[in-house]
Amino acid sequence: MEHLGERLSALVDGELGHAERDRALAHLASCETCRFEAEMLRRLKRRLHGLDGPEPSTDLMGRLSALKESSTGEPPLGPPAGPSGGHGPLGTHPSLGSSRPIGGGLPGTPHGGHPAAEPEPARGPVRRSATPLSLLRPPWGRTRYAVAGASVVALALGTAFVAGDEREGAPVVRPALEQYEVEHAVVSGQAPDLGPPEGDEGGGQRALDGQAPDDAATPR
Amino acid sequence: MAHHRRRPTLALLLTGLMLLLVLATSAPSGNWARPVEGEDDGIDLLRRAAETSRVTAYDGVQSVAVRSAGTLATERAEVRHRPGEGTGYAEVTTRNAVAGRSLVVGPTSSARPDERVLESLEHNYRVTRAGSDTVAGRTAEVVDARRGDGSVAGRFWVDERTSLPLRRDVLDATGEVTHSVRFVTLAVGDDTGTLPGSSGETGHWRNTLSPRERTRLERRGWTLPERISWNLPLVDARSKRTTDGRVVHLSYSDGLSIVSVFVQRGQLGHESVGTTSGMRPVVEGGGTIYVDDSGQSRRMWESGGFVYTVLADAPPEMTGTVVGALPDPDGSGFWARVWRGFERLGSRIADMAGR
Repeated sequence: MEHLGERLSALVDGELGHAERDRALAHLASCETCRFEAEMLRRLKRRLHGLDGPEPSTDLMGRLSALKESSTGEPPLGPPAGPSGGHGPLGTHPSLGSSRPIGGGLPGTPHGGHPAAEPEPARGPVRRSATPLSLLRPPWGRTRYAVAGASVVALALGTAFVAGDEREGAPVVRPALEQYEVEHAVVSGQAPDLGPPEGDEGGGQRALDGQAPDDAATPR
Repeated sequence: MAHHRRRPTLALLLTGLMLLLVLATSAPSGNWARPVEGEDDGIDLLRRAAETSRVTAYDGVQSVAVRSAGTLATERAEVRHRPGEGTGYAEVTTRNAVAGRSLVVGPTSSARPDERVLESLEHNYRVTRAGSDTVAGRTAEVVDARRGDGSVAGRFWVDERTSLPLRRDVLDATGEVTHSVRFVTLAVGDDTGTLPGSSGETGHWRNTLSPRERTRLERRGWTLPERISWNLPLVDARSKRTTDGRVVHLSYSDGLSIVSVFVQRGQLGHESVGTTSGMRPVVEGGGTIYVDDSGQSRRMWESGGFVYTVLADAPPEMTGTVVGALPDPDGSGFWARVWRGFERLGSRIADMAGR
């Protein structure tokens, strides 16, 4: 007896014509092997439908919501909900956010047995977590500016603090006081102090006489 | 009715006049608060004396006295001036002494800012003749510089025969002499002697700092004010290259005293101001300023990458005015260091922009 082969998959997918379908069903009634294989194919198909799609990142969702908000001015909402019922195959929905399969998991396995394949009850349109994202976005924006400003101030103060180090500034100099005194005296129109160097207290004409010098000397 | 209408107008007019009167009488009226007006019949004599001192040969012993802590500290030096050659200063040597220190100032006509000092004197005081006196055995005409209240702030003695300046005194508000420069002996017209040889001291800085150059330096962070206060204009500016870089010498004068300000890039280290220089550190406003009032007033401090040195034979209040008009000494706290850092960064940016 010839088994169904490739037609078995078409039967499960509902792609056979009426006549072909009747012949295939008649064969299944008499062929235990093909019946078992058809049942396995149906189970596999149901399990695939129960698998959840990849969850988009919160950042992507936030940006998508912001795009929508800026273009329409509407409050940020989740992606448009697709039809419920679990009939849409993976990848057939218009947006990534709506690609989550609708429908329960495999019979007897309500949680799907896979962390990413948790079934979602198909009860009307599903509103995604857009509201929490929109609440988070403005504070993050303000914080970002505050952090940036604080960083700039800290950088400027730190740079000035380092540049203000006494050891890092201009070179250490020793003002030439004796030379300055001579220069000052000459500009002032008076004789500079040409007395002995400090420490030689025995010589020179320095005097502390308490009054202006008298006119003891006579002109030549 | 018209009579009643005029009353408020008259009242307003009287109120305005009273206000003007109050404002006029409450204006600062201290001795130094405003220029002194009146006939300056002594200024021409002082101008002639300044010119004569440049073109006349003379030899003498000059005495310089500065009041400090109630006493006058006096220095003496031999002075020999030869027109066209310069002025020599030598230590007064005792009998049998081998040699003393000496220096020679070149014959540059701009060696002393006499004209600008006299302009300041004429502006700040009333300069009048006040009779005659005797100095170094010579008859001298006396010229007084009086403050607004009529008190004498300075006195000049000019040789009656040659018009050479013989003596000048600066007096404080109590009438005490704070600074005196006089010839103890003087011989005029004998130009046979030669100038003493320099013993290594550098003479007058010949590099005059032009206003344009001063402005250029100010754009690069230097503080070189044109005027300290209304009565202390800049009368002379020079600069010199040293091993520590450029040093600018600014002279401010009220006509009687000269305050010198030396400005140079750098900072003070422990080795900059030793005990040998006789200066003591004084903390003012978080910064340190080094002070010496044992004779000539000296101040030294660092601020914003520059070192300021002030030398003055002037009344203490004038020295304080000059120091107060210059940048405050650097502080040592966190914010002082940050502020110093901003100043240095700004100075470097200005340097780069000026190149």
